[in-house]
Amino acid sequence: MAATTAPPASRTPGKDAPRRRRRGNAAYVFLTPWMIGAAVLTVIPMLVSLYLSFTDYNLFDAPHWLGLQNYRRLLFDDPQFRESVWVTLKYVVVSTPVKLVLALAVALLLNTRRRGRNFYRAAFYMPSLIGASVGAAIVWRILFSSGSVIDQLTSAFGLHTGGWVGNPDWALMVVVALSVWQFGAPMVIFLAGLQQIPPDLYEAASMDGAGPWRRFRSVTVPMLSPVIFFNLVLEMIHAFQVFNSAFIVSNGNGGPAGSTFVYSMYVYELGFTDYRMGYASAMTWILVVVVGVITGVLFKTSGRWVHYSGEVK
Amino acid sequence: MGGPPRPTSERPPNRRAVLSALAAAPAAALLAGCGSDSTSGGGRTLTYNYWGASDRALLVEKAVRLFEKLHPGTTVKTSFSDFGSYWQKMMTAAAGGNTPDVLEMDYAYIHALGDHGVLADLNPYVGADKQIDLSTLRPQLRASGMVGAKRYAVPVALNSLAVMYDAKLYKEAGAVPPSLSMSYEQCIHETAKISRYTRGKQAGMTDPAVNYQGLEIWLQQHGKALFTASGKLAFEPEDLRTYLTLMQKWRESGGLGPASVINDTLPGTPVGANRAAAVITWDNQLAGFAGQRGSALSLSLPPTDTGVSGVYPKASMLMSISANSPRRALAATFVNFMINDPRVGRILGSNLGMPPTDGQLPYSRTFKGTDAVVRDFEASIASKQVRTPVAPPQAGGEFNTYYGRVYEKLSYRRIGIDEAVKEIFQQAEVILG
Amino acid sequence: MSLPVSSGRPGRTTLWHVCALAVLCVLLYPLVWVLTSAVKPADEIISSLDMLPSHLDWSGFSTASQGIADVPAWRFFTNSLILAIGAVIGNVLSCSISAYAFARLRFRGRGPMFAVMIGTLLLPQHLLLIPQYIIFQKAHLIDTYVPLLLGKFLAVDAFFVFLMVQFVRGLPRDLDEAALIDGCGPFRIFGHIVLPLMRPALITTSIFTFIWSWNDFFTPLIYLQSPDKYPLPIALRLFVDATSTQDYGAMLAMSVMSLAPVVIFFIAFQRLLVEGASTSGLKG
Repeated sequence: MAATTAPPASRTPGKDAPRRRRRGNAAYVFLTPWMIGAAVLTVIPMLVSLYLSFTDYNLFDAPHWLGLQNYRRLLFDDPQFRESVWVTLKYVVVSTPVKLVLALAVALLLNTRRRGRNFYRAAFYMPSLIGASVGAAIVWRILFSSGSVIDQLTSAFGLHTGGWVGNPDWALMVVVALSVWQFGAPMVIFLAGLQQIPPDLYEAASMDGAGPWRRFRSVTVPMLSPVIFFNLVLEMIHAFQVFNSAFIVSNGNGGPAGSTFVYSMYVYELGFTDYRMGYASAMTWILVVVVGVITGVLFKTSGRWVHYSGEVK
Repeated sequence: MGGPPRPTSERPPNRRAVLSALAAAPAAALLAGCGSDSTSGGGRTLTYNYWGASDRALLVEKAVRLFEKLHPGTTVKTSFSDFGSYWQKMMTAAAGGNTPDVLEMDYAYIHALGDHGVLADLNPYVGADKQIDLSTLRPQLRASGMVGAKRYAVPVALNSLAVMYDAKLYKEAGAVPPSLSMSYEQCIHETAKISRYTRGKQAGMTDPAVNYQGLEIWLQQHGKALFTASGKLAFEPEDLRTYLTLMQKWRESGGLGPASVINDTLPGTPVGANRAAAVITWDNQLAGFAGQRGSALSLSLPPTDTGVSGVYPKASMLMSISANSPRRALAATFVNFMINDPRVGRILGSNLGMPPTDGQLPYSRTFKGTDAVVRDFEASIASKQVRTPVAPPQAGGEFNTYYGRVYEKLSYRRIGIDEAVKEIFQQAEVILG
Repeated sequence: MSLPVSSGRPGRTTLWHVCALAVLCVLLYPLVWVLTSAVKPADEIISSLDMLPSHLDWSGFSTASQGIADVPAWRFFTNSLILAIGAVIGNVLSCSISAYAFARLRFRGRGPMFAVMIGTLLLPQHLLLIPQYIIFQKAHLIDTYVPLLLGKFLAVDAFFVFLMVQFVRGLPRDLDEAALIDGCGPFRIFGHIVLPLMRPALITTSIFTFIWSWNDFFTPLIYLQSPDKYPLPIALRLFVDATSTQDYGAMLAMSVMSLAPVVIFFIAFQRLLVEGASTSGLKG
């Protein structure tokens, strides 16, 4: 997907130099808004953020250079940072695979020519659009509170949480469930990938006597692996940045007992209620580096299981 | 400063000019609302921001309209939001140097803004022949708003922490409600009766230790304090350990209900949701809590092992004036109006707390309902209160959040008391600097 | 697992429908629940297992429509609408011209610039949050809509630039090359040929921009502070906070009001949305 190389521009005949220059100048006119935006809202803020992460900036006083002190304090001397990292890792590790497995399962179910598949596809996609809203998170909070329908249901099966949102062992699962509910986006991408798999591969596998599970293992998974990889990277990057759902489900405090106190909530609290802007900036840079490293590792190891050429083992 | 209104044009206006001026009037009003100092023609405009919910807004707006009527040519442009957004907004405005002329101040933020030169020192405006008359300020409030010799804020209302309890339920359960003559031991015993009587549906009391107010009361009962004047912790790890051990006993007795109740009832409160029969909170919130609960609540003092109440008179709200306001004298007149004018006292009732001055106090005699309950309670405890402690440091709120989080882990049995004490003291060092 | 080709046997098709419907029921349960619960009497909302209310109770809606803090509910609705429409206009204008330049024009620095654009696609937004806030704060633009809309007019949503680049690359070049030979400049080619052809991409962009802006919570949470400027999500949260009661009826009524436009939008444009999401890999 996200190709990092520029697309081939129009193959204008090279002989027409003056016209090409005119088109080149026009490009800068077209790109003026983007260039301003990239400079003012992306590149400069990035540099500012990097600089602030080495200072004690608090919005009031001029920033003082602290060197690596913010980073040192975060990594070695801040229990809340450690807890938020732990909570976020738990969230990423649970929500990403569950969401992807569900998305793939439903995509497989819908990968058919039966009538009604478009209706189902659309209906299953709907939560992805509304799941990010405050309204949905509020509904979620109520649905999982004590005495609610879900609480009664799980209690009937012997899981007495006393209300999921008030129980530190389960509150994060409410946030996870809200994220998994929005499996529609990876689902449609899986579906598009599944439709690219040539049917004769399945037929050939069937001829060889492969049952459904074998066909899934030896045809679907390898053929789909680039899409699985793409979804995995995208979902993971998003999961690391979770904020809205945790904020609303915990009513803004990351509770109970810090069990939903995700990374972004700590950044928000540091930056916008405590005004420790420098410290919070250092925290965001750590996140960037960590996510970057994990993405890099995924890319590095992807060669072993992602098949771009489309060959079947 | 606002001089006399001048005509906008030198020439005598003709009919057309008058008509177009009339047409332009709404636009002019809009411009004036933008905070521009429109001394010419439009009169003088003060900007005033405060926090609260809509019920408070109705009352404050009424008082503001009265001020405008008494000072023709003056417009007060108000803006209000809930406590959280109010402070977020005020801190950014302060950092950008565009605070309103008059701003509502909280005890916890005096240092944060005062130390950065955002607030005007009001001393030059205070005096018998000056704009602000503090001669009848109630003695408990004298020191509130002072930082050293500077007066950064003037109290607008007085409140105090108190136990709010459902007297009917306590009676039914055969439990004695908390009071000053009760020890913590007794209180633990009595509150557990409520939990037993309601078969766990209601706790005897909401856990008072979830924020540092409960701790502060206990410390002051023992002649100690939460913060020193220099903004450090004023107590020892041993004090905290004793307190947390006491609270653990209370939780285990069942009197405080399970830890999940508070989280489960958010954004409401256990008392409001009928899941606890008492809570320690600010007495001026009585009407709000009783309204949420749907039944009457009574006020009392917390239990104590020393005979000292540990609660103190607090300026529930203060008013400050921006150091860079061009209309500080007018702003001071407005502040004086809010704290001294008897009619304001009548309008506001006990919504902010009890009136701060003798000028407004007589009107509290006309209070009815919960206002009257608060008034009588405040009158009855005045002699039993301890001295108001120093204003908390700038990072006090951050410390409170952290303390609350650690305490929550303790109450959910995630950590032990020793660990909690260690964590709180370690981080206090970092947070409070 | 099912085969890509329908097996035609009626029994299996029925089974398939049963499976799909079962998933659908679980999935849409929260939506149905919020709709029916919003008109339930207060004591039935939390614990009643009945899907339908015993009688209709509109008190939640009447409380919610009064708004909060003297600001009527329609005001929040209008604010959300202004922000969403502003964002749509900004994104459509700025992203389409940027995409055209990236996809069709050759100029010095195109490669590095394209790489920067793709880079911003992957950059965690939190990184920029604090410095952007400081920049807007220094410019005295806090508590205005500028921080929320400026980026849209400056093609900061790289998602959409990328979406449109991909789309323009797929357009046949014959038309604009013919126009080029006729002496049309890049501006006219863009305005008369490429832009009309980009319609599907523009519509997808508009719908996603609208819905994302409508749902956006974090940005207004940080930049807006006066209740009369709040869009619905913040108002919803303020409502929950300010009343500090568990008035679930009103909370749900307000949730319904905030979700309704998205659901309606979705039903109206679902085909385009799902296609758009699957072709561009957008995050819903």
